[in-house]
Amino acid sequence: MKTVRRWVQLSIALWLFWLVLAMPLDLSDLFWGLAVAGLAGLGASFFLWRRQAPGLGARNLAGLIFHVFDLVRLIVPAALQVARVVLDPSLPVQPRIIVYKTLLRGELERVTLANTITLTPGTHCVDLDGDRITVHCLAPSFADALVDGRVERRILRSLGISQADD
Amino acid sequence: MLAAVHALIVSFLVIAGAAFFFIGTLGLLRFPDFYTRVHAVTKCDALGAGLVLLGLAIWSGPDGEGVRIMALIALLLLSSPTAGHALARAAFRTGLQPWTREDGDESD
Repeated sequence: MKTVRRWVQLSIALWLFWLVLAMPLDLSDLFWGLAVAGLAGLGASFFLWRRQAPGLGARNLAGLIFHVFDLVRLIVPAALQVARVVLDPSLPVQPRIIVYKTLLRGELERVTLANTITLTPGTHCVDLDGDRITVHCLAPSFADALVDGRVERRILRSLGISQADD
Repeated sequence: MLAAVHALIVSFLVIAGAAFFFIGTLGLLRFPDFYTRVHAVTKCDALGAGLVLLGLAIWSGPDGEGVRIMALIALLLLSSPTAGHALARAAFRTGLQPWTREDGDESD
């Protein structure tokens, strides 16, 4: 019963997203879109939203939209920095793997942190296992913003979540 | 006049996007190992595709198409790091060791 509910929820979410992208006018298009969304939702229901569906409150949604704009601000310096390294004839990289223990507790916050790390200059998230995040850095100094907690604070702020300090 | 400025902005965005694709590809070729290559591809290609799409959104205007392309940009910004993460994680979990510079190497 729970699986069926998750299937229906996922299918509707996928269908709504497809409606925004495709904006079909035909009734048969609407139907086929729903049919395909149902199939995709069935496939996704085996692993998505298993524990709980993400809260889709107005506050969360606004936070997520704000977060996407935040990503835009992150990716420009990140790509420019990679470009600088790539275009340098000496290719100045000193790759390191670091393991970072995050203070963020929710699944959504942790996944957001992983995505943000990947779009931060010189760092790329490699593995996320509980509160341990494995990060690959192009040079040790790139991890500074992460290690001193700036990245985490930014995420909490942009998602509009207040988390008590321990 | 306004049409010319419009075309100029769109051209600039699309050319800048293509340039980032080019740099991403160059990084793919120049970087020493899998992980460093993923750096180049996720960041440069996401920005490259974003710039090209933004150019297309401005070109087609705010009615319908432009809004849809903006939704695509948002999807791209969320999916690109996720895909890069999946790649790097697969490599890491199968035990691929990252490349480190030989000279002055103080890693353990």
